[in-house]
Parts: sequence; C-alpha cells; structure tokens
Amino acid sequence: MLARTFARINKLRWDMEARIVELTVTSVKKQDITLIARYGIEEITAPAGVLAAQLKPGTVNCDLHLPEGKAVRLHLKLGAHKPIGWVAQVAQA
Amino acid sequence: MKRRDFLTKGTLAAGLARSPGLLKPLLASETSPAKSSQTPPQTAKASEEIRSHEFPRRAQGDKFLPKAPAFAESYLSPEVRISPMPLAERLRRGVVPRRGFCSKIPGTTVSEGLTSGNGHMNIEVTCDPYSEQILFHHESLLMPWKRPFEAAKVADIFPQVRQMVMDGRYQEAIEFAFREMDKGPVKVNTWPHPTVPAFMMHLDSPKTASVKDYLRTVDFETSEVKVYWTDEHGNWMRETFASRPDNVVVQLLTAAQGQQIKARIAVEKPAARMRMFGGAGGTSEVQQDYTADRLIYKCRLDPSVDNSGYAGVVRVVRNGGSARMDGDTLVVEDASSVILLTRIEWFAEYSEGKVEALRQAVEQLSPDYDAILERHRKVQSEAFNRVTVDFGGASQYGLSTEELLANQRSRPDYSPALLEKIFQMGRYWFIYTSGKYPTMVAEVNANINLQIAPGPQGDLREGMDAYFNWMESLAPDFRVNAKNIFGMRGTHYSLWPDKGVGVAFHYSTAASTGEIWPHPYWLTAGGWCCRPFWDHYLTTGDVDFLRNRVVPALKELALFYEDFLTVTGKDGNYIFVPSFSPENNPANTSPSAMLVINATMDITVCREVLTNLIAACELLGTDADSVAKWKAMLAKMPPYLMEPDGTLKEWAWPPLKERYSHRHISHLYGAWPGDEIDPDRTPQLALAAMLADRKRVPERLAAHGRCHRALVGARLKDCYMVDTELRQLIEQGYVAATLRCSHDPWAFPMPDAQGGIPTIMMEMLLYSRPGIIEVLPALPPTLVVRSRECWPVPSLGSTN
Repeated sequence: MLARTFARINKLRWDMEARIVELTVTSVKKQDITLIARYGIEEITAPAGVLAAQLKPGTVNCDLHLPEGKAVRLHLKLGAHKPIGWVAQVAQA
Repeated sequence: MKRRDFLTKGTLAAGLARSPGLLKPLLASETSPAKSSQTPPQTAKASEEIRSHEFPRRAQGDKFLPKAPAFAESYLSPEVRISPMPLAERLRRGVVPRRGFCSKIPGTTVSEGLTSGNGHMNIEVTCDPYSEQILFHHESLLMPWKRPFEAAKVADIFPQVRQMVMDGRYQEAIEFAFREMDKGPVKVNTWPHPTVPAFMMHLDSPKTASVKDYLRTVDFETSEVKVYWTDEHGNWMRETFASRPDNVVVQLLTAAQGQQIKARIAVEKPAARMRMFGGAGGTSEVQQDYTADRLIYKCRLDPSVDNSGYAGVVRVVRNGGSARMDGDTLVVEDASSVILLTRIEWFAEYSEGKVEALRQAVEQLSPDYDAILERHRKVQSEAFNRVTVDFGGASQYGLSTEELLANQRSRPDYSPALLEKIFQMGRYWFIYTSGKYPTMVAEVNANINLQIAPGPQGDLREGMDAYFNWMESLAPDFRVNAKNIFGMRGTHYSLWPDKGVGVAFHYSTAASTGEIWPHPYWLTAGGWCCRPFWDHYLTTGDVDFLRNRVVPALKELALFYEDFLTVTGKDGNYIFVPSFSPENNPANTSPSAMLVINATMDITVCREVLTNLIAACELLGTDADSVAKWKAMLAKMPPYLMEPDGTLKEWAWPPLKERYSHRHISHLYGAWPGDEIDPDRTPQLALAAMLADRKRVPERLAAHGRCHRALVGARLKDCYMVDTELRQLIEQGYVAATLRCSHDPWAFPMPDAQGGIPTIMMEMLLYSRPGIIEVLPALPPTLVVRSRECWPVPSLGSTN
C-alpha cells in the first residue's frame, strides 16, 4: 500500500504474540521520517545508515533516513504499552 | 464437540440455517470425506455441551412451551429445490477461487446478485440455475437534465440571510432562502436524476424438480462469475465476465456432458424500481431489434430533453443446434454451448448509424472465451493485486460467504477469511466501477467520500484518475454555484455531483420530521472533494500533479473563502456565517434550523484548504504574495470549542448546544479524512475529538456513520472504537453474502462501506503523514490476541 509520505509500504507483517513487526518501505525520494510504534520499540534492526540515532529502548518513536527508491527492511521488537495509552496521559496532564 | 454436532447445534443457534435445505448438504460434506490436497477448512469451535444429559429434556418437558418453529409451506415446497454444494465437493472440484468467494444460495433479485464489470459496463447476476437474471449497466446512462441548468440565482439575498442567521433567526433564514430559491427553475426537493440500468436479460431453461451441488462464485483476479449445479441430466455450469481490454461482457453457457442447451433469452426494459434514486428523470424510448443471431436494444433516454441514448448489442454464437425468435424471445435449442457477447455504448447524440457501427464492432470480436478472458485477466489481476492482505484466511478456504458470515457472528474474534474477502471485494468493486467516471453514488457528505477513500493508499490509480478528471470537469458549474448562491468568486462544490452535473440543485425538506437541509449553503464540499487530490500527491510525490491539478483547485476554493470570510468577531477571528454541519442541528434549535454559525467542520476544512495550499506554493516557490494573505487568513480562524466535560463541540459558537444523537460526525473531519488532530501534535484536541467520537449515538444505522466513527477511531489510536464499529459493519447486515455492502442493515446495495471497510483496515494497520509512518495504530484487540490455529501470522503486504 502507499503511505502519505511519498513512500510505498512493500510489506507489513506482525505477530503480536512474539511482539514482532516487520516493515519494508520504499521511499519515492530521499527523506527523513519518524517511525512510530505506540507499543514501544524495544529493539530495531535496520540496514546500515538508516537509523538516525541509536534507539532508546522502549520509546515510541525512532528517526530514520530513507534512501530514494531502495527497499528498506525494518525489524521491530515491540514493548507492552497500549497505543491508546496517550488518552490517560493527556487526561492526567 | 464433533464437527457434525457443531453443525447441528451451533449453526442453528448462530442463524446459519437460513432455509430448510441448508443444513443437510453441510452435513453431507462430513459424511463424504474430501479427497483433496487443500488445507482442511477450520471453523470457530462451538462451546462444548456441558449441560447434564437430563437437563434439556426436563427443561423442554413443559407441554405448554411454544411449538417448534416451522417454515412456511412455500419455503418447504419451492418450484425447484436447490441444495448447496457440500464443502467437501467444493474442495474436491477446486471450484472456489483463491482470491474470490463462493456463495451457496442464488439471488432472488439482482440486488442479491454477484457482480462483474469493466468500468464502463457492469452486471448483476442472480445465478439462478433455470431462471437467470442479468441486469446490465453502463456508467453513462444518466437521465439527462434540461440545459441550460444552473444553481438558483439568490446571491442578492445572501446578505439578508447572513444577517438573519447572525441574529439567531436560524429557521426563519433558511425558510426565507428556500422560498427565494423556489421561485427559480430549480425547485425545492429536486432530486438527482438516476443513472438507469441498460436492460435486463432473462435466461430461462427447462426446470427439474431439484438441483444439488449448487454453488456460485466470483474470481476477483479474472472477474468471472460462475454458477454450478447438478440435476438429473448432469453437471452444468455458466460463466460470465466483463472484459476491460475488449470492452465486452462474455457469457458462456455450457451443456452437461451428453446434453444440449435449451434456453429462452429475453432482453427487456428493467423494472422502474431498479433505479436507485428514481424520483427524477423522464420517459425513455425503447426499440428492440432482435434476430436469431443478435439482439439489439436501443434506447433514447429522454427525447423530451435531448437526443442522448444508448444501444446494447448482444451477439449470439452457438456451437451447434438451432435458434429462432418466438416473439421478442430468442429460443436456442440443442446447442452444445452458447456464447453471448454484449457491448453497450452511450451516445451524446443518438443515431442509427452509431448503433450500426456498434453492431459491426461486436461482430468483429472473436468469440473465444478463453482468449478474451486471458487478455482481461492480465489487466485485472495486476490492478487487483497491487495491495493484498493476509489475515490467515487460507485456514478457512472453501467456506462460502454465508458460512463465513455465520462463523463471524458466533466467534469472539474475526473470521480471517471474511476480513480478507471484504477487503478484496472493496478493491474488486472499486476497479469494476472505475471507467470514464469513478465509482460514485449519492452525496459528498456521507457517501462518495467513503467510496473514494481506499483509492490513494490502495494504489487504485485508474479509478482515482477518473475521479480527478470528473471533479475538474465540473469546475464551471462550481464557479456558477459560487456566483449564483453567494455572489462570490472561486468555486462552490455541490452536495450531489453527477456525470457532467456540478450544479448545486439539491435543497430539501422533510415534512414528516420538520428537517430543512440547507445544502446550497454548505461550504465544505469543495475541500472534502479536493482532499483525495492532496492525498494522491502525498502518496505518489507527483510534483507535476501538485502544480497542475492540486494547486489550481485549492486556489479557487481559497478565492471563495476570501470573499466569504468578511465577518469577524470582537476577538478579531472570522465568524463562519451561515454555516452548516451535515446533517445535524443543535440541540437547542429545531430540526428546521440547521443553518447556523461556526460549524466546526467548516472551520476545519477551510484551515485544511489554506494550509495545504500554502505548503504547496512554498514547495513550488510560487504565489508568495498570496501565501502571505492566506497565512493571515489562517491566523484569524476561530478556535475550536469544548463542552464542559472536554468533548469537542460540533459548533464553535457558544450558544449552540450539542446534539449527540446523530449518524454524522462532521466535526471530526480534522481527524479523518483531514489530518490536523492527533495525540502528538494536538493532544488536547485529540482527546476532545475522541470524547466526541465516543459520545455519538447514531439515531439511524447508516453505514457511513459507522465507517466514519471507526476511521476517526483509527486516527486517534482508539482500537476499541475500530473494533466495535468494524464488527457491527461486518456482522450486522451491512455486508451481504454477495459481499456487497448496504447503507442500512439488510438493505439494498449501496457502497458507503464498500470503500469504507477496506479503508478502516488500512488505517488501523498503518498511519502516515509527511515525515511519519506509524505501524499498528489501532489494531483491534482480537486481532492481537488471536487463536493460534486461525491466525498463523497475519500480514499486510503489497506487490510492486
């Protein structure tokens, strides 16, 4: 499917029992994006040069450099947060 | 529990046994083990019988309990008793398409028919063994409007209407406006003209008392609709599809081994009730020119209006046997097979010469079913397979849609095959309804937007291109709307755009409820209709498209806003007046008072138009002076308001009170399809929007309302809202066994949810905006905690 950030999602695969997500994305142009997984990202595996900075385990977001026209395969180990958890945070703020 | 026990108990409890003949063949499949290499299908496990042996007998021992329910006699003694093909036989024969579905009950009307199409033409096929009905459609058969035809010229009263609304005389204002509009040629309660079906084909053949091994199928990758049955003469099959490369509907009738085709073929005018919006339009003039070799159906749509019309040529190619006319019915006897090749063309200027050219063109086609099919398959499968889903549905291979729907209603999670097939059907439908025009039925504010919704992310580019062309073709009417209704520059889009018609003609009342819908004053259709243009740019990065097609459309909308936004409050912010939030009225006004002030949606869409226009022009390095002006306008947008409990208000005007009991959630446009509300950028607003989504209580069960609530839920990471609405949509009558969707539960087909449900699935799995990709934002809990055997590893993928 196509993403609204000038990119094609070649594959999205998940196994929530193993807490694993695999994402393959091909960008139309060279761009920096933020990858979000609100379960929390415990680990991420990406090709060399794609990760903009070292991941702080458990965070929701991760910055990536996407090259133009080249499929990038990402492997995520998810945490145990709930994506809807933001509601309680905002309500309590 | 053994499967046989589950079928006898669980299926009855779950409502699977819809008719008397259903249960028996299913059980037969159990007594005739499959000899197939296919993976055995799995169904949800029913709960074990844990009542004591004596208890049911004791509970049922009261002689005054109601008698066991019975079927009406007519159900028990149909003219032809049809028994479905058992599952084991489906698997043995391999007749269920991998990407497609099967259904085990024929339709009684074409609304219950299976569908095929090539964009220009589409068909609905009941798949009855002996009394087949095929309704043929062509996308262009709009009953013509009398020209010239333009929106009511009421610009001179606009200042007065505006002032009345500012004064709180809401009902008085719209009643006054409607009286003035009604003085012109476009009268109140003018409804859209229908796009009419081309003709109905009946295929009748000699009946037997009973049929077994009945099955009908659709193959999404070839567009083929097939029907199988067995009677005392043997195994029969009919197959049909619409070819895109050859622009022809092909029907193949094949006799059982050692048998011959005996068929009566009639092509007739469809019943008037088959018009979806049948209130408008004139009287057509039909001519039938039939011979034993071809049937030509000619129609001038409304000669009192113009000379538009169409013709349908049905070429008959027999393999052996004979053919003759019996009145207007073609009688084919003793043929081993028959191919019917049908093409329909619409003519802006009807003439016999054009009909003859059509006849000759159909005559030139080679009547080779397999060759035509192969040419079509390449085109169809490429478009269809650009995006695929795999929820683990292979584990339920072979089950019919009736069985999958029943399975879904009796399990706590999702039927993987049903989810996949509904997603696939949405793509299939989008493709076969996309020709010169895109798929379009009904209104911008509830229907068309959802029908178009899966296009950009789903890479349904041909249909989206048709949409863009269509919208752009209506710009002249949109300009006249702005001028006639408001006295303003720019464009004002209509509620109900149609083929060649962008006139804002529809303004309506309902005497029974007192509702007055002020649609000519609805500001927001334009921004909503342009949203897919923007999404196309975001998904493709096509800068030429941005420059040449997005920016011009947004500029004309901005021009309208420049003229419209002339009233400001004491705080210096604009006041949107008059303003309408489809199709609701505040709790403290009457249903006649929908035209009020500062509808949240109007503010949101205006913000979106200006924001995207500014971003586009800054990227392109153009229109610097205008950008400054648009930024100044943005700075004067009124803030959104909240209720005391933090719920986002539908009207950002303090005196107007919320009315939660409504099917629309127009004020949540900023979450979906707009994109200015999310937990990261606007957390307080996102919470307010979530409360508004949760507090909605639909007073009518419209599919678009459920879709919109789910889509807003997906954007707000509200997996529970997605789960609730998605389950309602797929379990409670919005999806038929034909996998066609309806606006209301258990009603006739209407495709809000046909586009809406696939969009929900994509949005719950992945969210994106420039610079952001979010995985699994709103995965329903039962897709997370899945049963191991049914959910190997769900995945969503696309092929390049």
